[in-house]
Amino acid sequence: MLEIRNLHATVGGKAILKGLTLSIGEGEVHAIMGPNGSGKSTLSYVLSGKAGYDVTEGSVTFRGEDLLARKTEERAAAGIFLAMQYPVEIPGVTTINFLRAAVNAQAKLRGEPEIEAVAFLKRMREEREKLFMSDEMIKRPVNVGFSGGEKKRNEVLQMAMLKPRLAILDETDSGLDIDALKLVAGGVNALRAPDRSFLVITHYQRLLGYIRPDHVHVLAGGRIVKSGGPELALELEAQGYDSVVKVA
Amino acid sequence: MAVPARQSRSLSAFDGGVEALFASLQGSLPGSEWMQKLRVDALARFVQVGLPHRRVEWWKYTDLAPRVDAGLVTAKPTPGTARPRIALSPANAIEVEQSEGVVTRLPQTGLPDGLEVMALRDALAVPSLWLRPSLQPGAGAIENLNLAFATDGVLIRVGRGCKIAQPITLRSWLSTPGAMAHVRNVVELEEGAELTLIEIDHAGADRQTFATSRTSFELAASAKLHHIRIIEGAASAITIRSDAIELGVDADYRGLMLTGGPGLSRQDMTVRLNGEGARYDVACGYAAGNGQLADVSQEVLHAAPRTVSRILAKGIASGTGHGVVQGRVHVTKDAQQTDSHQLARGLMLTPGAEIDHRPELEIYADDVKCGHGAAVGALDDAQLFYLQSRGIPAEEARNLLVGAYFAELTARVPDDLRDDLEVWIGANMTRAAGLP
Repeated sequence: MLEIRNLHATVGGKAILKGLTLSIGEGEVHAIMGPNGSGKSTLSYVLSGKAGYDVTEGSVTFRGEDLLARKTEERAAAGIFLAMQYPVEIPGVTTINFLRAAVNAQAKLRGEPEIEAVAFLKRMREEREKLFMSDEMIKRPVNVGFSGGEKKRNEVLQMAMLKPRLAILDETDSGLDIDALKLVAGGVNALRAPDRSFLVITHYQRLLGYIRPDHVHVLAGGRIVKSGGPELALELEAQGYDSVVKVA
Repeated sequence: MAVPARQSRSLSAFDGGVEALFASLQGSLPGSEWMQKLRVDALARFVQVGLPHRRVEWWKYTDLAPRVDAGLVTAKPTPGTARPRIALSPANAIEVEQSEGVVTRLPQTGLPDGLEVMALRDALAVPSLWLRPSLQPGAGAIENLNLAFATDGVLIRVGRGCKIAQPITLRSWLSTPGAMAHVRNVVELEEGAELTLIEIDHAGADRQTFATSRTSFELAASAKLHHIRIIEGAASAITIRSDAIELGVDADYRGLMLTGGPGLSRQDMTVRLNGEGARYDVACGYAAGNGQLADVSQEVLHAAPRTVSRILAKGIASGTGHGVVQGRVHVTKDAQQTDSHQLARGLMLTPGAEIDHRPELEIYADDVKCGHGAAVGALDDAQLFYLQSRGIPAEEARNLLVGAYFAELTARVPDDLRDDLEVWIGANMTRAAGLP
């Protein structure tokens, strides 16, 4: 599904990713852990095509196609979804209108028909109810006045509506209390499917207690320095990044 | 023909021909002797100064004179010509139309009690001295040009205490190539009267058009006017709307002005808060796309205690587009406890655009609250990326954000008008973002 080979990327001329290689199969959940500054967020922005994140070497293939040749919106339409660490506020655009625009834009880019208004609203209602989001919340401007937990729930709502093939969760656990964390993780788990993969980026093992990964990778100095199963996350939690990074 | 020696300024091409044009038209312009005298006086005043240009302080950002073509002529409405499609039609509106400077549609029957609507041309055909105060030459070159050449206009009066539930829509268009049109409107609300007036302006042809209006608004004590004005047009259009707004005790003027499309547009509001407790509250939105200039200039005089003024202006500029917002607030020494605020915001969509904000305050009272703010910025890259990362193409994302930027303005109108306004903004203002 996703093949990253020897990826090098710079931000503002500074090398951040230095030869990252990672392979994610259909339906798999991969976690990437690592200390601050190791390149975790850079990886998520490079995959979604944010301006200013320049790939200098290596390749990324997504479902058999060169991902890096595509624009941000085309990557989204191809099935990449980035749940952001800091979702932005967009005054003047309601969540419901934003999502309808997004769903239809993706359909158009894929050459599919637009979703009918009634069907859209029905799906929207089902998905928001699963996340305990009120009708009033989705009629408010995107993320405006939302708490940290509400913003992350809104990210999961968008993920549910857009049905990506690869969801990247960039420190989705940051700033969440335990109840919000459970709710968000529950929403993510409900979306796990054989044709949907996840890349969960996090500092802490805590989130992985709720979203159980198939594979755990340690990112340090812009490269994957160690990979393993779920037990690796526990090991990191117990021993800290330093020991693992040094051994590697 | 040699320029007379008394002229120290250089005549623009338009100015040079204006007297000859007036002489050729004078017989056909409506009004009896007193009106014709006022026209001659107004023309003389105009000729003294000519079209405004950048050395006239209040026009320093809008260099009108070199942009107006010579040889513009007046036009007549052509029967059967399809009128331009213009949005915004409340179902129950009382509809009035002007084409090429002449009233072409007036409500014939069924007007609510207390409402009078008539054409200036008709009013001037009978003794109409009551109109004289609204038809005087003034200090502004454009208002004098307008008075000299005014071919028609709409007169609206609402009687004492009459609250008119149906909105009046006044559509004006000018679509004859190389034509100019000057109309003079009067809107009078007697004590306690209420009215909603929606003006829709459309101008443009494959050669320059030059449209001006001068509208006198008089709101007596406790009268309320809800005023919406939309100006659209083509790159060839020069549209200047000048308003004189007089507000009595506790009178309440609430306005929303949107401009998108004309090559050059200017709205000139001169507001006098004459009565204690009078309130002036206006929101303006403009879009200045490539080659366009959109100007909103307001002079507000607080002449009575406890008067309130609020000015909000939001605009976008792209390409070589140029936005201008001027707000000049005077507070006389008697206007204690004046409460005035003006805020201008600008969004530069491309680096070559220009936005000028000029707030001015002149305060002679010592117990007042007067504020102003101005800010110019660009679209937020983080917001753009967020929208694109959800699959919304860059162009559409920009449109969405520009629409959102103007949502603060459309929030001021009732729900049934808001949808139409948003559609109009999408078609006429976000288009200035350089999109198809």
